[in-house]
Amino acid sequence: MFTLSAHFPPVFAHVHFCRMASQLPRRIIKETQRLLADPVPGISANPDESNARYFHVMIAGPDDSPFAGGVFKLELFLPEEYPMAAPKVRFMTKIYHPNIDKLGRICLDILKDKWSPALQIRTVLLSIQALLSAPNPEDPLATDVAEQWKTNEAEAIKTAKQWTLSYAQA
Amino acid sequence: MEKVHFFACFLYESMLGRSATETTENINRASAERGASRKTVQQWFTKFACGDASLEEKKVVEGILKVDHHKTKEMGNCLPSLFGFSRQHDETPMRRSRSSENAMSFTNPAMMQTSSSYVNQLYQHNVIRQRQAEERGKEIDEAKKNRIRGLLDQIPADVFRGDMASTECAICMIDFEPGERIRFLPCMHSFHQECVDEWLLKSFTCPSCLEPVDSTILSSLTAHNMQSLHQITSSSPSTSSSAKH
Repeated sequence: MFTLSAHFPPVFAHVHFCRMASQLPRRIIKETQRLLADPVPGISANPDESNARYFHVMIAGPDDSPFAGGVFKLELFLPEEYPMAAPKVRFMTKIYHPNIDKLGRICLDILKDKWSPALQIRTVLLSIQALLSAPNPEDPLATDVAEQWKTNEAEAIKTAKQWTLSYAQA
Repeated sequence: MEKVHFFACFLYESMLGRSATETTENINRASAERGASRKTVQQWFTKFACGDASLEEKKVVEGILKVDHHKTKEMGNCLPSLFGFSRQHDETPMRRSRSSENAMSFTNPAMMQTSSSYVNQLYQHNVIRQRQAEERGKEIDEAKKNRIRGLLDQIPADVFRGDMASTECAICMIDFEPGERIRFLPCMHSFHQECVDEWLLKSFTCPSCLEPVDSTILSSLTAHNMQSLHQITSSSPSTSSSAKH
C-alpha cells in the first residue's frame, strides 16, 4: 500500500498549488489541502502542476478483490460548475470490471444523476474504491464483461486477476 | 438537377405553404430539363405533412400508406403551422436554379457553395428554424429557473448565530459566520442560502442526505423555527428583503 507523500512530496505540491490558487474557488483549495494533509488509505490524488482542476489519481486494488496487488491510475477533472456538477473521472489503467468500459469510463450513479454538491473528491474516490470491491454486473457498462461475470464468475475473477497482473503494476 | 434537388424544392415549397399544384407549376416553370408530376409532389407533401421532413425517396412510399389521399389538399394548407412557418405569399419567387452536378448534403454548408442558390436558401431556412427551436428551449429553461428563483425568494432564510450546531457549509466548505444567511432544509441540514439555492435550481433534494425538498415544508419549517427560536425580529420580512441583493 502506498501513501500520498511517497508519490508527491507535500512541499512540492504546496508550492504549485499556491501559484494557481488565485483563480480557484475556495472549496477546491480546501479539498485539495485536506486530501494532501489527510489522504485516504490506498488512494492518492495530486493536482496537476499546470491545472489545479485536474488530478492524477492512483487507487490500490482492495485486498478482498480480484484487483488486489494492482495500482490503478485514474484522471479526475473538476468542471467549471463543480461542485454543482460531478467531477469527471476515468480509469487510465486497463481493468476487467463490469462497470468500467474499454475507455475507462465508470458507471457510478454519484458521477451521474445521484451527484450532490455535498459529495467531494474524497467521497467520489472512496466510492470508486468500493466499486472495485463490489462489481455490480446487474448494472453493466462493459456488457461482455458483465455477461461473463454473471454466467461464470470464477472465470471472470480469474481474468480480472490476470489483467491486474498484466496492466496494473506500479 | 439531381433528384434530391427536386425533393428539396418540394420541402421548401411546402414550408412556404404552397399547394401541391402550385409547387408542380413552379418547379416545371423553373426546371428546363425535367418536370415533376403533380402526383409525385402530392406524395411528398403528404410525407412532409406527416412530420417527416427527410429527403429519402424510399420513405415517401411508406408515408403514403399511412395517410388518406383525400386529406392531402387540406393538409397542404396547414403545413406552415406544422413547420413553424408563417405564410410568406410570393415574396420569395421561385428562382431558376443553376443545375449542379455535385451531390449535395443539407448538413454541410461547404457543399452548398456549388449548389444552386435555391437550395442555399432552403439550407438557410433550415438553420434559422433550428436556431429558433434552440432559443425557445433556452427560454423555457430560463423561465423555469426564474420561477424557482422567485419561489425561493419568497421563503425566508435563517441567520446564523454562534450557538448553532453546524459549523461548515457542505457546499462551499466555508465555516458559517454569525449573521450569515443560512437555509435549513426539512431534514434539518443547513447550508448558506446562496449555495443551496443554486443547487435547488437544479434539483429539489438535500445535498447532504438526498431527501426531497418540498417547498411548502421548507417555508413552514423555517417559519416554525424562527418562532420557536424567538428570531422573528432578526429574520422579519423587512430585513430579509433588504438583505437581498
